[in-house]
Amino acid sequence: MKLRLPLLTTGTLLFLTGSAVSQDTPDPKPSVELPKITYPDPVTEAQKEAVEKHREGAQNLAGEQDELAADVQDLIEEQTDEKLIALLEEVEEVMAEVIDSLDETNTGGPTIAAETEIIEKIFEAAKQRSQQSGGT
Amino acid sequence: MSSDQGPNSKDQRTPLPDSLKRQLEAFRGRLWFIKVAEALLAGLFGLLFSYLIVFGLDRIWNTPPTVRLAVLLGGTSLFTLFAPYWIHRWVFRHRREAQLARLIARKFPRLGDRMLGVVELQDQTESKEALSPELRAAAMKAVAQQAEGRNLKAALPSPRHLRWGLMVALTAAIIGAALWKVPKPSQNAFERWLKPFSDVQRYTFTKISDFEETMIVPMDEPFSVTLTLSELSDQTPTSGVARFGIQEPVSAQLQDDKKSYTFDFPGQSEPGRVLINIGDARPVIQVLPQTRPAIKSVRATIVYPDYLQLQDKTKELRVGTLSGDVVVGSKISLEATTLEGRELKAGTLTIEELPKTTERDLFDDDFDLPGDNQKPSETAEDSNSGAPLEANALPEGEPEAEPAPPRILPLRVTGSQMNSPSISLQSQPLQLQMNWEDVNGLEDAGGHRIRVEPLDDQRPLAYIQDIERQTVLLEEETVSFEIIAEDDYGTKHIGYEWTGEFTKPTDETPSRGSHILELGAPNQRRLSGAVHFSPKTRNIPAQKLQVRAFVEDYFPGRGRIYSEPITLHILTKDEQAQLLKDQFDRIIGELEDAARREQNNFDENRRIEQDGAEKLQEEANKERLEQQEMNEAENIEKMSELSERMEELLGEALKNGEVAPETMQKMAETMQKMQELSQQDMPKVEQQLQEAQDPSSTPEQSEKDLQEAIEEQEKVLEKMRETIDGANEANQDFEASTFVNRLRRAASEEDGIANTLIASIDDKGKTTIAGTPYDELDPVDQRVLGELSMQQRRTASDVHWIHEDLGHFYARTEKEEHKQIMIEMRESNIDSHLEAVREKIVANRTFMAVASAKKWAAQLKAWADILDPPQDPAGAGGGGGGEGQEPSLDDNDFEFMLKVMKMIQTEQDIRARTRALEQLRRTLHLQDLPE
Repeated sequence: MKLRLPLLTTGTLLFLTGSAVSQDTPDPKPSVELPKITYPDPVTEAQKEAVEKHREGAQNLAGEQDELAADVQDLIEEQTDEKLIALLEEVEEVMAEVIDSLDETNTGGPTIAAETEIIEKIFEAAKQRSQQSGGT
Repeated sequence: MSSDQGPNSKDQRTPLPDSLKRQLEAFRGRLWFIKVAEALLAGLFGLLFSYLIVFGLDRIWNTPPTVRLAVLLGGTSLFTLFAPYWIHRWVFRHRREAQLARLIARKFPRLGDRMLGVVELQDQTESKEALSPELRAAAMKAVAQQAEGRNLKAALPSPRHLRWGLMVALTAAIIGAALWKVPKPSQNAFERWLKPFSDVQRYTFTKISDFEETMIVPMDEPFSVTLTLSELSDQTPTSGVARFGIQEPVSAQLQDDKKSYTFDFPGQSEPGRVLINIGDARPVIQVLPQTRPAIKSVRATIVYPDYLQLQDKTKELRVGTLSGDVVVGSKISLEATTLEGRELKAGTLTIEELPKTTERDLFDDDFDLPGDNQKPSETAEDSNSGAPLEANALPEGEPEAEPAPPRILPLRVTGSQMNSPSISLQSQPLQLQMNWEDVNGLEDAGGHRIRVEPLDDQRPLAYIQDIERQTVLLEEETVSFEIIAEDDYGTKHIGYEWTGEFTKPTDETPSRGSHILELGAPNQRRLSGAVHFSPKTRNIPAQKLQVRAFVEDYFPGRGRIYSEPITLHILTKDEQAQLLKDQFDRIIGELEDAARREQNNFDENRRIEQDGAEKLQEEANKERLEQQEMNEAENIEKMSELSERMEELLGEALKNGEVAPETMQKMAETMQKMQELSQQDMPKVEQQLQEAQDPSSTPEQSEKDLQEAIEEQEKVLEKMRETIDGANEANQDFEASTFVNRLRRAASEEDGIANTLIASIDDKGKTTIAGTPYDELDPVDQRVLGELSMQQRRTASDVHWIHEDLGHFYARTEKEEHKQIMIEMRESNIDSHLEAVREKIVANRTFMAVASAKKWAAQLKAWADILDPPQDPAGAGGGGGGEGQEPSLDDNDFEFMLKVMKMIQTEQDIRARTRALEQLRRTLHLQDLPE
């Protein structure tokens, strides 16, 4: 099926993507020293179960992040624009970082920040692609 | 002779004749007696009379000591001054004959002179020759003879001794009579006369009991002076009179029962003396008006019940009510300070229980219903849907008790401060009245009342916000919401609970659990926390979840208090796809309605145009044009709303991830056109219609504007038709894709039925229910079979509709794969077979039902695979571009965008679930509850 998509429709999708990103992007905060989080040690059985649940959940997420990284790898292979490729490679790198963190059951602020960076960079890639299309 | 007489003449004195001498001595004796008597009697009289003066004065008034002293000195002065003087005058200065003769001469001058002459003659010492003793003797003799004939007593100065004696006798008689008749006042007067500066009180016949001589009375307030007759009083006057300063006297009658007199005076603002006359008693009272003692400040110290773990609190009571800060079980003590530091003598605290006021809601169904003994707390419990019963069994409703009689407790007084003992507060409101008296005996003006209204420790309140009460989400999604809890004193912790419920029978156990979100503190009245709830993180499969926030306060045994629940519909992707399909159907239906309305508007505009330019500016046509413009505006608004809904739908379809890219593209095009229509095309029509009504335009200009509007509208209609066609095309694709989902869901249902039946077989292969007649089954098993039968009926119905829809779909699309499935379904006679499965379930033919359900589940999956063949992992990479047709640039863009959007969506899901996991980790220490 041959698809004829007006450029405006692509822009609309970009807008949709952008609004989705902006909804979840935290406001930039001034650089301050972040409080150190002290995690409680498990004592009771219920708490130990919760720790186990946390570990399983984090590792599952690491798996999902890994799958997504593979999708990014596929996407890179389809691209020809170097700038876009560079952006997507950065995404891949941050994703690898997140995978490592989640594998180590680190679900704290740094990991969430890295995930936010992934979203921002993908969005940036989308904009890059949009500009590229508009320019040709 | 002369010689004889010579030597004798010097020594020879001629004595007075004896008779004269005796007469003079008698006169002198009498004189002395009378005058000494006079002196003594006068002195005695003075003493007696001064006593009588004091006695008399005391009967009239309370003779002051100085007056009494003066009287005493006056009385004794007769003795001490007058008597010596009198005696000296009459005794010492009348002891010689010559002195006597001179005294006699005052009465008898001739005789007295002769007597004086002979007295002088007897002491004559001249020579004998010059004197004649015989002559001298003869003279003396002659005088003696002369005197003998006289009564010399008559020559005594007027004697008053008898008069004095009489006066002494009279005063003595009076005193004697007084002593006899009224011995007590006589003796009292004697003591007071004799010792004027002694503290001997004046004796009165009317004797008043001891009283305060200085009296402090409230300023500007009427006051009374009460005096009581002493038991020793000799008189009981029937009335008395008192007078404040120079004001009008007031009288008081004797009150027989108390033997007292009460004088009522008007209010005074200046000090003064009250002079009182009761019989002969004349008490005087100094009156000092003074303002009543008032309170400057009252402070309450509140000691909260131990369970609240709150610090004691001190509160200034500026108004006479203490409420809001005191909870049942608290203890309070009051501390009051007087104005101007007035020293206090005593104080009391009266504690009175007031009837309990119960605020009732006028909208409460139970209001004023006789015989309804449901307690308010029970009603409140009922309204709290879903809260555990044991958590709600609170001892808060208490039977109404008769208020206890008032208790009066003494206040501890220190200077100008008074402190109450500690008062325990129960649910009954109290009225505390403080009364006090200052050191001057002045009491307060009405006391100080404080109404204490202890409040029950109210149940905390929890609610969920920032989320719809019904929320649909995919298993992979995360929802965030906020839990807010409030309590009147302190919240212990907040959290949330969830209870799952499968919408169809399954062998799985519905999810259930709870999570403590935040810890509170005894003084933390408000507690809130954000929840990031991810079903996947908690391994919660698709089901309906009731989520409730809960809060606990420190009230012993109260337990959790729950919020109103929210419902999370956790859907599988095919369930969500079906939901989106329904929404898309509705949008298309409304889009078609909008197109019909636009067509009607178009027809009407043409009719107006046909009337010609001349009639265009007639009033009727102007109104028609105005109406047309309004209709167009309404349609623009509707189109705008539809495009927004389409945008949301597209976003949801993106999350689903299983909607084909082609379908997504068509949906995006539909949305794009709807936006163009609402933002660009239709507003042009509206603008032209507005210009056609411009009164300044010529008829020709108006006609031209209308024609332009019609031309624009025609384009709009064409675009609407294109949009509807595109939407229908997308819907068909959507529907087609959902045929896959529907078939897979039906297969899943059949699998679920089979699995539930298998679950009823134990490990040893023995079924607990197989072969047992339905009537003999356990009610639980009967219920399970009933539910499975219902589920089988619904699945059969779904499959029937899939079959029928496929027919219609094929008629429109003529796609071969749909035709193939439709024919296979018809030939398989699946409808009657599924009904047979249901009958086997009802008849408890477990094994047969399981086998059949499994078979048809496999068949349904096979049909789904025809529409959506499973991807061959080996050929997945090389399949693209097999037809050798290079996709257009636009197609590449769209594919890229879709991939990117999916990535962002997936990354957002990962991030949200990471947050949920982080929350779980941070609140690990709170997880002591089994989930």
